[in-house]
Amino acid sequence: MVDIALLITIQKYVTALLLLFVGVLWHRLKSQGISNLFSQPRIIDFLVLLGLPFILSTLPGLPNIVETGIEAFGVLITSILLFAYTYRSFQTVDEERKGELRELVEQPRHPIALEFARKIVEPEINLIKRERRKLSHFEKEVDERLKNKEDEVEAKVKQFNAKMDKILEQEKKLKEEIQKHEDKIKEFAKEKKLFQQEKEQVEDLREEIDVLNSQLRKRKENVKKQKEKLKGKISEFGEEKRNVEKNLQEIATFTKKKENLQKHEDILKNREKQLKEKEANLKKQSVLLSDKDDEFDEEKNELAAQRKKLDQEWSKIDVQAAKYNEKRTELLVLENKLEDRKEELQEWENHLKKQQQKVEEEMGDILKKRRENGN
Amino acid sequence: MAINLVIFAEYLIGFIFLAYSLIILIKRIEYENKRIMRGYYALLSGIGVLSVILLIKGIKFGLLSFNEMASTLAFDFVSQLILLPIFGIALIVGMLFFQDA
Repeated sequence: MVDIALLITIQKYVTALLLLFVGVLWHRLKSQGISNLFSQPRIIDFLVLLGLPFILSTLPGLPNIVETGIEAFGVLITSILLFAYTYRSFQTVDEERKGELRELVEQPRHPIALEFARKIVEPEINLIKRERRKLSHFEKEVDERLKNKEDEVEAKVKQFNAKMDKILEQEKKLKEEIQKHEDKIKEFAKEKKLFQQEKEQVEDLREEIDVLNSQLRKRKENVKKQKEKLKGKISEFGEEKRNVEKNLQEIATFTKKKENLQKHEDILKNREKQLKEKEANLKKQSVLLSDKDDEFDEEKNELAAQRKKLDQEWSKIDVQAAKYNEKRTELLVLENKLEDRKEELQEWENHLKKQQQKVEEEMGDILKKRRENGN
Repeated sequence: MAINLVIFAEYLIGFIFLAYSLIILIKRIEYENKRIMRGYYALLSGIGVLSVILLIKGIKFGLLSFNEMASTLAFDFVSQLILLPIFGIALIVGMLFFQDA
C-alpha cells in the first residue's frame, strides 16, 4: 500500500515536469511565431494553463488540504476561463460566418456565390442530370427485362401446370400400386408368421429326429450284430426259400389261367342267354308260321334249315360245355393240390421258425456260459 | 466534511465547464488551419483525459464527504498514476505536432 502511495507521489512530480516541459515548448513556439497560424492562440494558452494547478500542487511543504484546494480551485478557474473564452470566440466567429452567408443569400451576384455556383453546384447538377439519364435508361431496360421475364414465367407456369397434371395422375397410379403392395406385404407377413410356426415345428421335429437317429444307430448296431449271426443260418435256409418261391410262381400262373377260364365261362353264359332268346323268338315265329303254313312253305323250309343250324350250334355248345366241365374239374384238382402244397409250406415255415428259436436259445445259452466262464 | 463537499463541487463544476468547452472546441476546430489540426486533436484528447480525471477526483471527494473511511487509493491509482501522465503526454504530443507545422 505504501509503495503505491509513493509511486503516486513520484508520478505526480513526473507529470508536473511534463507539464512544465509543455509550457516551455509552447513559449518557445510562440516566440518562433507559431501563434500566427492560429485564429485564437489564447485557447492554447488556457489549455497549457490547465497544467498549472497540478504543477503548483507539487510544491514542497504544503499540507494535503491546501494541495487539493489549489488543484481543484485552479482547475475550476482555468476551465471557467477556457469555457468563457472559447464560447465567446466561437460565438463571434460563428456570427461572422453567418453574416457572410447572409450576404451570399442577399446578394446573388456576389463573386463568392457565383464562384461557388460555378465550381461546386454546377458540376453537381450535371452529375445529377447524368445520373437521371442513366436511371431512365436503366428503368427502360429493367421494364423490358421484366416483360421478358413475365412472358418466360407465364410459359413456365403453363409447363408447370401440365407437369403437375401428369404428376397427379402418376401419383394416383402410385397410390394404387402402393395399396396393392401393402396388401401383398400383409399377406406376406401372414405367410411369414405361418412359415415361422412351421419352422419352429420343423426344428422340434428335427430335434426329435436327432434323438430317434441316435436311437436308430444304436439299434442298427444291434441289428448288424444279429445279422452277422443270422447270415450263417440264412444261407442254410436259402435253398428251401427258392423252392417255395418257385411254387409261388406256379400258383400265380394257375391263378391267371383260372381268371381266363372265368372269362370264357362268362362269354358262354352270355351266348346261352342269346340263344335262349333266339329260341323263344323262333318258337313265336313257328307259331305264326303254322297258322300261315300254306302260304309260306318256302319260308318253312328255310326255318327248318335254320333250325338245323341251331341244332348244330347247340351240339357245338354242348361239346364246349363238356370241355369246360372237364377243365373245371382239372382246375379244381389243381387247386386242391396247391392248397395241400401251401399247407405243407406253412408247416415247413413253422418248423423253420421253431428251429430259429431253438438256435437263438442255444446262442443265448452259449453266451451265458461264456460270460459265466469269463467271470 | 464540508471542505470535502466544497472540493467535490469544485471538481464537478470544473468537469462540466471543461467538458462543455471541449464540445465547443470540437465544433470550432473546422475554422482552424489544416496544418495544425493534428496538434489540436492531441490537445483535445488531453482535455478529454483531464475531464475524466476531474470526474474521478470529484467522485472521490463526494464519497469522502459521506464516509471518511472510504478508500481513496483506487481513485488516486487511476487518476494520479495512470491518467495524469497521459494528460501530460497528450499535451507534449500536441506541441510536437505544432512544432512540425
